[in-house]
Amino acid sequence: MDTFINFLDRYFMPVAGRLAEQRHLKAIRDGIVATMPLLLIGSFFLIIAFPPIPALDALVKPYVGDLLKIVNATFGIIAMVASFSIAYSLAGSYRLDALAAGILSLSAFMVAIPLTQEGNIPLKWMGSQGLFVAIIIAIFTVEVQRKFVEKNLIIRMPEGVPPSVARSFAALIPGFVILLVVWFINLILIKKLDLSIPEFINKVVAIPLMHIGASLPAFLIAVFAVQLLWSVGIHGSAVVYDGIMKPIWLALAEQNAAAKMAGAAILPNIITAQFFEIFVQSTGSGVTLPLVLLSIFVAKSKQVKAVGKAAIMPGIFNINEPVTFGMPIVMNPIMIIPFILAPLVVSVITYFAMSLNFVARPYAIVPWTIPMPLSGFFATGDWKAGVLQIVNIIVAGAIYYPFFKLWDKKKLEEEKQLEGKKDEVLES
Amino acid sequence: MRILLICGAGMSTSLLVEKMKKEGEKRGIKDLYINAEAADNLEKVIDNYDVILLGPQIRYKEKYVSELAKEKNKVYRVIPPNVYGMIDGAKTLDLAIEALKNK
Repeated sequence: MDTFINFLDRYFMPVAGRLAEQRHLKAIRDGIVATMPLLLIGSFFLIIAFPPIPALDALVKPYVGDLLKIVNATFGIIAMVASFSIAYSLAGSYRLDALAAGILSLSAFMVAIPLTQEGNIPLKWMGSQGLFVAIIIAIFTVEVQRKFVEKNLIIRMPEGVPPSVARSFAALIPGFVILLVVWFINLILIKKLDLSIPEFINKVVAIPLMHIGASLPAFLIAVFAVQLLWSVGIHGSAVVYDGIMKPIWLALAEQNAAAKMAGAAILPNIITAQFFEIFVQSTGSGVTLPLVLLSIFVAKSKQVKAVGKAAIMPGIFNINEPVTFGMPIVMNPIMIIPFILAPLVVSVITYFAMSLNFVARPYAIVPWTIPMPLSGFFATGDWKAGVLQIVNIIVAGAIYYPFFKLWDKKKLEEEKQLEGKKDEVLES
Repeated sequence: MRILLICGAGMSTSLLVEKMKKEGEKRGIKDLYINAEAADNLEKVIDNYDVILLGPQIRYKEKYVSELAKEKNKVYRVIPPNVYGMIDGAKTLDLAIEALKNK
C-alpha cells in the first residue's frame, strides 16, 4: 500500500498537476467561471418560473414568458460570454492585450454563427450549445494574435499616442486576419459539407464528447480520478472537474434547462454539472459527512473526535478539507478505500434513481456550498432528490463504518501507549 | 505583517484565516492582515502581501507559486497537511512568522 501511495505521489500527482496548470485548460476554466454569476441568476429565475410547488406553479404561469426573458439573457448567452472571457483569460496568460483578444474572439464567434432566415442572431447557439464553438474560436483567436505579436506584425504607434488608441491599432491586423479566416472557413464548410462552423464543431467535437461525458462509465472514471488525486492530498475536483469535465457537464446541464423551459416532463440528461457537484460531491469530495458524524458520536479516540468537531460545520456546507487532512484520509491506506468507494456507489445509486425516474433530473445550477438536502431540492425541484441525498449519506456511512472502526481503534491504542509512557516518566 | 492563504477557491483556507486572526489577537500582534484567496487570483493580489501560504491540496502549484514569489520578492510556505486538517491557527501563524524571519 505504501508503495502504491508513493507511486501516486511521485508519478500521478505531477502529471495531474501539469494538466491542471495547462494554459488552455486553465483559460477555459477561468473563462467559464466568469459565467457563473449568470448561471446562478438564470437558475434562480428558472426555479421561480417553474416552482416545485403546484399551487405556486399556477400562480406564476401567466408570467412564465417574462421570467424566461431573464433566463435567456443569462443562461441563454453563456457561450457568447465565454467566447469573450476565455479569450480574455488566455491572452492574459500570454501577457497579450486581453481586452482586444476578448473583443476579437466575440466578433469571430458571431461571424461563425449562421443567422436565421429572417437575418436574426439565433439564441440557440448563444447558450451552452455554442460553448464548444466559443472555446475553439477563443483559442484560435488568441493563438493567431500571439503569432502576430511574436512576429511583430502589428501596427505600432509612435510614443505619445494614448495607449488605448495604440491598442486599437495593434489589434487591427490580427483582427482582420482572424475574422477573414473564420468567415472563409465558414463559407467553405457550408459549400462543401452544407454545415456552418458551429454545426461542424457540434458534429465532430461537441456531440461525441457530450455523448461520452453523459455516460455512466466515463463519469465513474472521472470520479475515481478525483478521489485518487484527493487520496494523495491534491484538489481532485479542481483538476478533473473544473479543469476538464466542467464544459461538457455544464453543456449537458444547460440542455436540461432548455428542455425545462420548453416544458418537457422528463429532462434529457442525468449526468450534468449538478449531478457531480450536488449529488456525488455532497458534503465534500468523498461524501465525508457520515465519517464526521461517526467521529463525533461514536469515536473513542480523542484525536478522531476532535477532527470530527472541527470538520462538522464546514462539512455541512460541503467543505471537507478538515476531515481529509485532519483524520487524515490523505495518504492513509485505511481511509482511502472507503473514500474512493463511497462516491462511486453514490454515483451509481443516484444515476439509477434518476434513470428510473424515481427522482427528477437536475436543471437549475445552485451554488455548491448550499447544504444537502436543500441543494438537491433546488437543483431538481423535486423533494425526493433531497431524500436521495440523505439516503446517499446513509449508504456512504455504511461504507465508511468498518474502516472508521479500524482507524479509531488504532488511534485509541496510540493514545493509550502515549499516556502509558507519560505515566512511566512520572513514576521514574 | 500581511499574510495571504491560497487554496482552490479560497473557501477552506478562509476557515484557517479566522483562527489565525484570533491567535494574532491573543498574542497581541499589531498590524496583522490575513486574507484567503483562490489560487488563480494570486497574480492579481500578491503585491499586497508579505507571505504566501499554500493549502496542501494545491501543492501541485508550488512551482508556479515559488517562481512568482521569487519574481515579486515574497516568501511562501506550504501548510503541512496535519496543521491544515486541524485548522490550527497558532501553528500556521508560526509558519508565517518563521517564513518572514528567514526571508
